[in-house]
Amino acid sequence: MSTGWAASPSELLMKAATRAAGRRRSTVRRRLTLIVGLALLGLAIAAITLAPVLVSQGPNTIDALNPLAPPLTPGHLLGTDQFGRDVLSRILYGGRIDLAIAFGATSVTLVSGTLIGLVAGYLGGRWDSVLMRIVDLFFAFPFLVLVIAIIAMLGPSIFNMFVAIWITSWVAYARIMRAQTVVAKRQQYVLAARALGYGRLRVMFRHILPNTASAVIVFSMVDAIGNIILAASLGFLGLGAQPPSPEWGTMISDGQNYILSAWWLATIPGLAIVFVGIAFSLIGDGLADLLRPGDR
Amino acid sequence: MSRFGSLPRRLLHVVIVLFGITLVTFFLLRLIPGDPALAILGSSYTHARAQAIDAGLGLNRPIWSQYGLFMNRLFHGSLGFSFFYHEPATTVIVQHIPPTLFLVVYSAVLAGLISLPIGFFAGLRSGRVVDQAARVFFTLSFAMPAFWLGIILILIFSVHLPVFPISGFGSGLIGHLYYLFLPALTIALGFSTVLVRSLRVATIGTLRAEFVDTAQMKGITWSRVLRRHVFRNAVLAVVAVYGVNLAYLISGTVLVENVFSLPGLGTLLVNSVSDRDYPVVQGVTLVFAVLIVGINLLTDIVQAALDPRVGQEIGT
Amino acid sequence: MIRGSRSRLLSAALVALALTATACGGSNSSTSGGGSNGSGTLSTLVIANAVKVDTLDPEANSVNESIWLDQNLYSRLLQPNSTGTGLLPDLASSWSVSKNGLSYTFHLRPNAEFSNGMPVTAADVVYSIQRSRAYKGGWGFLLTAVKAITAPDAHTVVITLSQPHAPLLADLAMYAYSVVPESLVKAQGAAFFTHPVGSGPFMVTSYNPDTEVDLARNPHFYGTKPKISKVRVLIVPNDNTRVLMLESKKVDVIENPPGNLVSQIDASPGLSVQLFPSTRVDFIQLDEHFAPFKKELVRQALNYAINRNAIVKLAYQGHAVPGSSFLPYHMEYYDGSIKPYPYDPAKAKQLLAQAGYPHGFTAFLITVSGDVAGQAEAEVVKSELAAVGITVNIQSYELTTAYSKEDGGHSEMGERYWTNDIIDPDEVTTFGADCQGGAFAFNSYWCDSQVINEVNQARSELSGTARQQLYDQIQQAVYQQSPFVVVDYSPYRYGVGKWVHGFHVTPLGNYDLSLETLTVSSH
Repeated sequence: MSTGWAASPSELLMKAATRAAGRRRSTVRRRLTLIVGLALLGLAIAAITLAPVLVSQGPNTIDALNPLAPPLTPGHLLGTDQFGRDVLSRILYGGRIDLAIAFGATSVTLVSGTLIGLVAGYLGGRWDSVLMRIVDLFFAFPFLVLVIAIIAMLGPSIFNMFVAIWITSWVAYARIMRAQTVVAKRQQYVLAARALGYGRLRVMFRHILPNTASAVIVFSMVDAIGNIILAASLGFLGLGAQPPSPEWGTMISDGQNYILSAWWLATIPGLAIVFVGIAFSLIGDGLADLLRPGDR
Repeated sequence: MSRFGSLPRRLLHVVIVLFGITLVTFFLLRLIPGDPALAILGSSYTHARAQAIDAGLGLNRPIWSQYGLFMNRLFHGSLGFSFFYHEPATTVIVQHIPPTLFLVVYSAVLAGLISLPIGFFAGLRSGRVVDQAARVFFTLSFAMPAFWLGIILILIFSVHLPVFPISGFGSGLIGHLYYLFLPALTIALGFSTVLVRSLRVATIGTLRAEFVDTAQMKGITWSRVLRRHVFRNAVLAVVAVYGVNLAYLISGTVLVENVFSLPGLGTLLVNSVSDRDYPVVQGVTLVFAVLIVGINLLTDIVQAALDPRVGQEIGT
Repeated sequence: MIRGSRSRLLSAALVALALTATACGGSNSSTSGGGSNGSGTLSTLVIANAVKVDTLDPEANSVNESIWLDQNLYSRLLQPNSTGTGLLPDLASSWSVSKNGLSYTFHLRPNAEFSNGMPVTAADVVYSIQRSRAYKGGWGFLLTAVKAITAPDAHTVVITLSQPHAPLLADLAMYAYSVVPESLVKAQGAAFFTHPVGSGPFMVTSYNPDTEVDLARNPHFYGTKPKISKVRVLIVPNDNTRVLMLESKKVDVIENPPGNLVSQIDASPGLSVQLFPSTRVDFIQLDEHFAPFKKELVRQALNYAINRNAIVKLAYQGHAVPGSSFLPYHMEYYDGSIKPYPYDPAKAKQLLAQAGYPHGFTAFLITVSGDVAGQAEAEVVKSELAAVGITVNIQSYELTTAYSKEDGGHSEMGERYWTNDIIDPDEVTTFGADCQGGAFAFNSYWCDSQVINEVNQARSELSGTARQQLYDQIQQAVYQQSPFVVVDYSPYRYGVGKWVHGFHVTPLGNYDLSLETLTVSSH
């Protein structure tokens, strides 16, 4: 907790005591963050899964008689777009795409990047060198350019967004995992395991990985938000999900054309992204607090 | 071990990386469907005209020969001739650098102005209202896509309350500061999230460190402790984060430039890919890569200068 | 003191804010209408374009907006008139044609000068035309019939042909054959075009292709002296920004306001949306490599199945005209007797059944991402074709990628459009009706030998009546056999402040003629 501006031995003792007390109080707060995050995410997933129950009009059903209806119009809680399509319906169905990206794209890069970083860090030597040069190359390449180029080559579609993310995003995990592994392999418990004669694979997966995984897991929450935003950005640039797909970024891009006449078309999908982003962010913070090894 | 002993080796790596980038970009570009002739001729496309254009642009030669020509020109300091602008690619790129550079620096400064006091203060008063409020605010802005935030800011501050212009670069220093305020703020808010978080954690961590107690017990005044040790060490921890994210930010300006119609490198890149203007795309990618690599290198040097322990690890 | 450094940071922030605040105050003055002519008129016109300039070199232009811009800087031998149905003298004050149609003699006006005072000579004209003809991938193919171009004296140009070429005058009026000063272009090369010297009504004073191009009145212009002395062409790619700039009166004219804001602009006091008939024809490309489209009955069925009025209403806010002939609307030799196919889904189904597709078929339709009107049109087409049993899968690509997918004989349906570069029908018929003309009849690969003969004949036919007959036959054949589906003719759309008098865009898109007489009132 914070301290006063004067310094005296009694103050110092007080400071130490408050810190200890704070540690206990903030454990609950730490868990709270995680719980709230999981709750929000759960809410989003539930709404998205239950979409057919919650809305009667499909996401792509055109209603030419009702274009550009503002939010709170009877029958259209969030309004309609230029073709009369219900915005709430599009948000819920579009959420399936964005969350699929958050989970699907992130999990693959998490696993692949972690494995590569683990192996490189553990083996060291030439493997490590070559791998880290490749990682440097990826990092130096303007990220968005690479993704744009890949999409331009393969054609814009949701699946190709996955591919583009898989190709470009594993490097961050590799770098983190490799750094963690390099430090870990000098630790006592690894040296002991090796001395006991355990094979390299076993040491890597049974010993090092469990102790270092927290860093990449926490990062993956951040990355999940990043991937949603990346998908939205690609949709925004016209390189991601194509109209009439209700992907949130594509909706924002379409909505930009109507910002002076129907502001809700561009605003609401962004709020949806923010909602899910907050959920992942809180989960990430909560996990980070939970998994942080002690105060020192 | 000398502080910068591994610098030459580091520079060699940089050169290899840049070379790799030119190679990848060159071939990647030509894999994109649709060639420059299509982009130029549009609805009046005929194969005869396309072949003539290819001949005029040197695109009818074998690809390795084209690459060789490109690298040869590069070594002589030229990026080739823009297919779209009919001017040297270097001229076109240089014309587009000022808005992007201004934006990046402006965003970095704004981000620093926002996050240093807030992050430090939040760390100092961790757990109190200030800290919680800051965390909530930054969790929110982190989850916002930059392009969306830009649109919202335009809606509020350019359309409904006409305080700032909607787009453009303006003229003169004051003009630039005025026109670029919203775009720079958009980027700075996203950037600040990470900075505030890191600085806050670093501040808390340093506060709890042993040496702070030691310094205090020796009788050094609290404010001096804060300034000398806590702040400095916290900032040190953040320099790395700042550097890495600044590099990432550069390629992120693409979206913000699009939203605010800024004629910078990001807009040039997106347009040139559309126009299949190969020389310009290759040039801009190289510029971005150089900037990113340069910033990474600079970050490492600054870190090493601030903390001798880090300097010994640069080469690894 | 840590307090001190913190407050230093704070004060720095405050100063920054203060600076931006003062900058606010300073920059709010209107940027249009700099300088005055007295009596409430202004001397500057500010136009906001949607697309950046590629070059000011007429032989190399590929962007429409750049072409319209640089036509203010240069002259040609002749120029199209304001309705796009005839030609006016420009640099050539008169001309004569030999009896056999193989030799044209142009007499240049004696007082024509470039903006730097240099006289425009026949040698400059010859050089400019030859230069443009030679440009790789340029417009030289229009002048393949030209055998020789000579300048027997400083004010005469003679063009001899290897065979009669009816479109010659229209070709020479084309932007690519604008006249540039030979000595300067030879001396400066590509750099000349960043500060070009031409003989048109305006000249360039500042050239930033991505942000702004400034023009000033050419003091040496031989024609009507423009009432305005300056033109500022701003490049504003963002649709909404352009509209906001017009609404805040920072600009006088904006190009292409988005459809959903047209009523908003019209409702604003002092603003209006002006529509100008264009040579644009929106059509749906059909590739005959896709089996169903080989059959004429299927292609006709598509025509009956599509409700053009619905498309015009939903995609173009009612501002377009349902399409009939494939020739641009009311251009020279347009056959006005051809009416749009009526909307008749029952007939469409009947034709499909006759053709052997009683249950319809599935086809993909390529659209361009970002094209709002096109996306709307695609949705309408999709639902209307579904009603007759044809399932349409809409695919959306970035522009050049879309073109690459529509080229080469592997596509099915694609949204395309055509605009004329010359006022003569030879260009559109060669590209659209002649599968050997280079564009495979708008990529349909539809070949009708009679039509091909007619296209070639019409090119060399000098008699107006005979040409009209040939073009009527071509238009009827294309209408009947429908190698592509002509959807509509969409006009040019501009947002114009009511304080601007006389802004007019020709069907080719040029506004340079109107700038010579236009006035801007204070506002």
